[in-house]
Amino acid sequence: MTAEVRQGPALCHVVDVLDHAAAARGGELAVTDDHGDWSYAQLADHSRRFAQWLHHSGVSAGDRVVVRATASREFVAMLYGCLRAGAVFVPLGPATTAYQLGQVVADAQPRLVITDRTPPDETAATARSLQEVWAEVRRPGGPAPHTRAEAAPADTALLIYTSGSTAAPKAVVSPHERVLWATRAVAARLRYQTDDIVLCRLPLAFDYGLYQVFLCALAGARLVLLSQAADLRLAAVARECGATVVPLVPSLATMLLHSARRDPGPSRIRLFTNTGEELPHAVLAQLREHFPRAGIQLMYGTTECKRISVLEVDGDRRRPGSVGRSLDGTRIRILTADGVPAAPGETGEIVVSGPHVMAGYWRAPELTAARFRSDPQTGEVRLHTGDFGHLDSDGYLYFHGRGDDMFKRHGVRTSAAEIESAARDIPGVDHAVLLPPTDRRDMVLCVVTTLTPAEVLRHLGTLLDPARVPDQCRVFDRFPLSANGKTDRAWLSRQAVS
Amino acid sequence: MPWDDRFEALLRAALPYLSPDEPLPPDAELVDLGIDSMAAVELLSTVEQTYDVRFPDDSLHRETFRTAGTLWAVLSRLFSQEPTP
Repeated sequence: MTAEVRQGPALCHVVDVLDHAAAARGGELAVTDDHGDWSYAQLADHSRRFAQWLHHSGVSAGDRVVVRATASREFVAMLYGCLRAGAVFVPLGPATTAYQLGQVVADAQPRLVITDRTPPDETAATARSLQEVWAEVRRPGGPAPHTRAEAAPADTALLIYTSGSTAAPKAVVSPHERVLWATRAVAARLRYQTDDIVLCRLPLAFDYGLYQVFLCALAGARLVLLSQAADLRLAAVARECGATVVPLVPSLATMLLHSARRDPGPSRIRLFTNTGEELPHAVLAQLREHFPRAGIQLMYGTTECKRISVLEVDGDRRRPGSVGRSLDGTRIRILTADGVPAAPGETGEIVVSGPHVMAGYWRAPELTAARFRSDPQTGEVRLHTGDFGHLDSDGYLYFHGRGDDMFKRHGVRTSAAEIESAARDIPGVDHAVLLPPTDRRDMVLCVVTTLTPAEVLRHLGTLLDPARVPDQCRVFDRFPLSANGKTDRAWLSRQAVS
Repeated sequence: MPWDDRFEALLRAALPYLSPDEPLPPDAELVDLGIDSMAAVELLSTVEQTYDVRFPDDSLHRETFRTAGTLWAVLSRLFSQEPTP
């Protein structure tokens, strides 16, 4: 069945993945959260009810619907239901602050915002409480099941917000056909099976988390969504639910290892995957020590094209530091500063082309033109990732780092500009400089202010989600200037170490 | 029973939004003082090592780590049960 679904000609809309799974194995469990399980048939039914509810609420094709919530069965039903209604789904994680939500609402101009905060604290007049919405969706005699709106393959399915080198977040426009193409290309490498149980503690607003939904449906596997409540006993939770696959970012891996050390015991985990932020060598070694039966599959990607490369299971033993080969049907080029192809082993910018490259940034033509460049000869779009790396002579990619001031923290992509901008919005802060993390220290916020460091961080914590809030803040009377009149970041950086 | 200095030092290290010169109130929400999941997991490890105790599985939920007072209450109950060396 899996092979038929993968090759089935009828997948032209993301919801088809769910509907195929529901037709083929409707009675099998699809998704589990802290409160219970749904089979594929139940998930499909709830997504139809939600689609009809959207229709009654005046949402029509092309409208954006923002959902800011913890990962849950309802979240997944809203994702599919929104697409079924022809609307554009805009997922946001539970850590999204009102300040960040305001930025997204101004940019996406959604018809509707649904949030699981009670009461909804949003300034957006359109915000609805998730609980209330679902009381209406579930009401007997409520909305009749909805099939699905016609959508062209090129229509937008998702807007995925991500940080750029600019202060405000921006959205990657993800059309149905490209989401499906990327899902199938990744599935061909990861090979989730019908009996897999995929344990997901990643936010569903993060594409690594979100695509677990599609990968599971494509394979007919079961997705188990964890909330923060499980963080102190991840190894026990994995054992209790019989997890076989666990997608990891470093912070999650560290928490899982802490819990496995306290609570050693059998595990059914057969595969760890990683993308989003590289797992350090020490963490890889500890995962192998505590989970000797599990393979590790390293990957690399960016929201702008979902996934760039996937390494074979345990391929890091043979090619340490590699993040694998390009997805089949896609191409990775390494371009030097002059824009010419680099020789094997030579470092340059990672540039990607293929049917997985998304349709640019939402309502940001200049930014789109800078990153998604058309080849003058062929017209092919090449995604300039801004990341640096090299290919070896066998076509394996090695990631070196980012070329701009963006970085990852707790698996979240962010930039100095974004954090500095929020810090400058704090009353009493005159100037702010964010020193990105290095090999030797975490990021440090430097501010000119009369406030105390703790006051600055506490206020910043109300504006930004935890991954974007530094643990360390240094207060200065003024910032020194470098020779060319700019803030002397090198001096600040030396101060931060001392 | 008021907590000891070791506990206060371990907990403060996990609370970036609390200034060294500010008191640590027993009923303040630790989340509001900047603790996150990673810090809570690490705090659990260091507290267990420092006091040579083991938190039972059914205490590993957010209520235990909600405030300094709730965490100390669970911890002090644990080491009052441990045999004294």
